[in-house]
Amino acid sequence: MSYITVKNLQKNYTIYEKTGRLKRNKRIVKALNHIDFSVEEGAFLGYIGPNGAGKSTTIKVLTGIMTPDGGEARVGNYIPYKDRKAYVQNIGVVFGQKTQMWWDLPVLDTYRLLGGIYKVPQKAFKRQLEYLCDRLDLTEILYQPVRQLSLGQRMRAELGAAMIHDPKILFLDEPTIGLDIISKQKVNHFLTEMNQGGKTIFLTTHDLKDIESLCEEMLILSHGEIVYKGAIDQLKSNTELPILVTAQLPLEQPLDALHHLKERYAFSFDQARSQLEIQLSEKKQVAELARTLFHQYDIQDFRVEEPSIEEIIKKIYA
Amino acid sequence: MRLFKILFIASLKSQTQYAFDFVVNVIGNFLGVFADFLIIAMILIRFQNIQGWTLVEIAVIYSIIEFGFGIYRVIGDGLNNFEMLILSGRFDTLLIRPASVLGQAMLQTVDFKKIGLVLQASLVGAWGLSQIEFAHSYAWVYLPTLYLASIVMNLLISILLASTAFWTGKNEDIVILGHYATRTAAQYPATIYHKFFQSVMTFVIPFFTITYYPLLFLTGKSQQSLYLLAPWLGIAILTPITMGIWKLGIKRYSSTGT
Amino acid sequence: MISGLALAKASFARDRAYLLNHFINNIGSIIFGYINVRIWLAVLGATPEGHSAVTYLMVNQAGLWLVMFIPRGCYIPNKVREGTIAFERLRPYGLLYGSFFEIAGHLFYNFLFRSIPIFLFSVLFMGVSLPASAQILPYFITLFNGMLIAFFLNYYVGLWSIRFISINGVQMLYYFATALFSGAFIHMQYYPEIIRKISMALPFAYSTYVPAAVYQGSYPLADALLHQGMWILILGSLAVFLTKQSLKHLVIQGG
Repeated sequence: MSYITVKNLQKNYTIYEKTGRLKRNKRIVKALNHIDFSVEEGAFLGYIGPNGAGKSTTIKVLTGIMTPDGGEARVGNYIPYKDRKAYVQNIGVVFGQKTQMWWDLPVLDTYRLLGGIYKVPQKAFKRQLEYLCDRLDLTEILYQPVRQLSLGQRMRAELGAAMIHDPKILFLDEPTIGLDIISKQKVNHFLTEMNQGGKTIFLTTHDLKDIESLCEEMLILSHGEIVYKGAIDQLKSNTELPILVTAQLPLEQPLDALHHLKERYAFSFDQARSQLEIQLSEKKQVAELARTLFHQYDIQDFRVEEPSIEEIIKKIYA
Repeated sequence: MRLFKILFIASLKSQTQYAFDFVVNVIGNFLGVFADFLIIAMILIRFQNIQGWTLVEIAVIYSIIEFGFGIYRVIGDGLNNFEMLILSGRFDTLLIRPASVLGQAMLQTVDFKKIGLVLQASLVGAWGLSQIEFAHSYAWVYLPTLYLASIVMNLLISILLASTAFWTGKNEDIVILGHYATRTAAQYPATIYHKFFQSVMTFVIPFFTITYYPLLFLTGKSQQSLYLLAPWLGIAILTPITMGIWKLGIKRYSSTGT
Repeated sequence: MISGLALAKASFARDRAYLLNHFINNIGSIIFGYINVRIWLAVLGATPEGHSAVTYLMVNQAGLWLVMFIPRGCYIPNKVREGTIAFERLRPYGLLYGSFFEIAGHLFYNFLFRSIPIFLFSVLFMGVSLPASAQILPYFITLFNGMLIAFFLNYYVGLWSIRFISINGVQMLYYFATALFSGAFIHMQYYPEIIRKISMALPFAYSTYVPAAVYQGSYPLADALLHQGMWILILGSLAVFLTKQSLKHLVIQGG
């Protein structure tokens, strides 16, 4: 039984474009075009797609903010947009581009407010606050008004705000946008720990390195449709993009010495630099190629490059 | 001037993009301030006059001050929201451009919705002027300069008050106190107030110099023809003071930042 | 209730951060009141009638921050523009409930730091009479009802921002209607007959004129409670209905 189930979900936006002084054109954009997927409890799901693919719309439906035009979304025993008031108690949400902190008040005041709103008992609140301060390095910024915080500090405070009622599921929409490497590492480390502690995490980001290091699974959305769902390793092995092997041969290597490679591999040879480039379609071919090369030639340098996740995804979007 | 033209067209386009919204805004602005006049009109319908001033005369005074205020709100939106310019740090971008800082600050946008304010002032003025009897026929030649003086005076006061943001940051409340309240006070004859408040309105925020004093002579309530010089005297004195404080503010801003 | 009180408390604390600005604003408010008072004294003179008008005007001036100048659209338009309305939808309560308590905290602040200072100034320096002791409690009750009515009216402006682009226009329409029909600046007895009738058939007077008249003992408490109660019922049900309608149209800006 999966935890999050999305069936045949649809959402359209009507856009009015001005075409003349008074005329306007009505255009319907399909933000979500009959999508289906499911997520297990405790999963760490990376949700990616180019701008305007429908990621935010999915999150808005799953968090109960928006009602879909068709289909159904179910999280646990709830239908988010129908059981909104009871459901939201179970989720924490971060929108990287918006703040739920009260701008003029110290961080702690927003936390207290949220503690009150979600009816967190005093003891549990104190425990959770201490925990979050420790893990997110909040102690020194707790008494500062939010408007004085740096972007990195604000984002950590924002995560804390989403977690103060200890929700079961976290929806994170671009939580690391604009952060420096150190801040990002802190945030990512925290998220991993949350996930290991049993939280289900739903993460959208443009940073594929984050996805690669954090998530087990990913979902790729393009133009309102799901184009990939599965493990990240799988994605790499499924791709049609070649694995590139580069080998450095001694200078002035005669070209005809390579002739019997020709029968088995497609390769190119840069004669001026004596560099050999071979494209393989499968990972298991690498070992065999290496054996052949090292056996027959005086290899001075040897490099294997798998296609990067960026390249794979670029190909999928196209 | 070219810059103003570009800005003018861009503002007009963006604000009339949504016709319904624009119309509601203009009507709203028209009525929102017009209520002030309706209230004074109801008082005067019942009590005939305020210390010898009739509704018609009050209407002319009202239109002078409100016309200048309305024009200021159309072209001076940047000054009206000056604290936002300072607090958001956007003021920095004005300093690095090769154009007058004051001009840029003022012309952040042209707020066409505020044309409603000008409309209601014009309407009240047109009614008042169609009924009024001046003691001197040359009043009709002099009058346009009063409306012009009102624009200048409103802009000067707004620059003066906007400058306070260089020291205080947030200054919305200072603007409400120093401009909105005084401009409302200037809609009525000076003698209803205490001497101290009259002096403030004559010498500190000199709105009475464009409303009360010239009308006192024009309606024949006073024989002192020098009152006709009051608006220009007021502007002549206020201009260097305002510019001085504005420059002082910029100096402070560039040396301390925010 | 607990979550509402937490919200009200935060709202109160947010206002506290700008106490100095509000102090300057109070001076501005007193000057507006002063202008009105001088107009009325000019037409009525230093008579008992003039004195009564001064009290009426300044009681209203002190209450203006409770029943007229409520934050634009109960904070909703700003949340819509910045997209933070999304967070409101993540709370375990509805928009009406959240808005109410956020405004409640703000009004409590205004009562302490705006209304009371302006009122005290009026009593000490402008000759405003204190209410008869029997009118104190009735005044506060009707004032509270007036705040409720004003809240609903401003809340509608907030809902408008969910459907339409800008609220400046309706906000000004609200000011127009409330300035003209609430009786804040003219006692109902001086209105032309027709305007008085219109005013008493609209909700605005029940947030402003009625409490001030109760303060002066010229409006029976029972009538006040009945009329205000009716308006609260009508406006409240409409608010519930319009909230449902508007949220169907909610589109979250950005991201």
